Amino acid sequence: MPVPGGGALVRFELPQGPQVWAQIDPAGEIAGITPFFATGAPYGIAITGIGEDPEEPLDGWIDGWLEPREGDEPYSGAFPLRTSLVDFAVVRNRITNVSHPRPSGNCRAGLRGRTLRKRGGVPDRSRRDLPPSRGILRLSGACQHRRHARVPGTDRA
Amino acid sequence: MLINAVTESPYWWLQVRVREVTVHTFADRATLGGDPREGQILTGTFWLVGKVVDLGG
Repeated sequence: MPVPGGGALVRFELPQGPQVWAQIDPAGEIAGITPFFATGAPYGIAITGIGEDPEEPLDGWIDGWLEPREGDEPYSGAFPLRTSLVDFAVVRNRITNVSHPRPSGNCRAGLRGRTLRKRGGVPDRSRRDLPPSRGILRLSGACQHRRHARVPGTDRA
Repeated sequence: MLINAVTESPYWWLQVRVREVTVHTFADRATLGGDPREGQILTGTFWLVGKVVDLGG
């Protein structure tokens, strides 16, 4: 799919759900690759912020609250999170153009997205607060490091 | 458990309950350090990736 301003996103997928999204820059070179798994499960999100990778403009993320409970209160969901978007380059303008009355308060991300090209997480300096808006996402998480796993009531890990 | 169709390596599709939300996450055996079972508690570092389905406004 074409990206506004040049470049494209190209998706490769297999029947079970795994996908790879390649970011193609205006010169036709691969600028980045993001894995994704299409589970089919939709999640509601109240978007409160957006940011792009200062070094890779086709890469970015959103902040928000997952599954907001109250229609007029975006900070009412299950928990705040930050998630990378595989289709950031093509939805960025749509996200920033949606506006709603802004509630008081500030959202802090509880989870952080991370790209394969970085260590230590996405820098915050590009973050912009947004008037909260609603969206529907599909999410997939990749476990990168296990710290602990146990069965309650047993010593087995 | 799923099999990577290209590398033929096995990996797990885990449904992790976080508060009232079930988050789908994926991990290989080396990362998990073993095979998971239902009811286990998983703590770790995750890369969360989303795809926009709809922007309802």
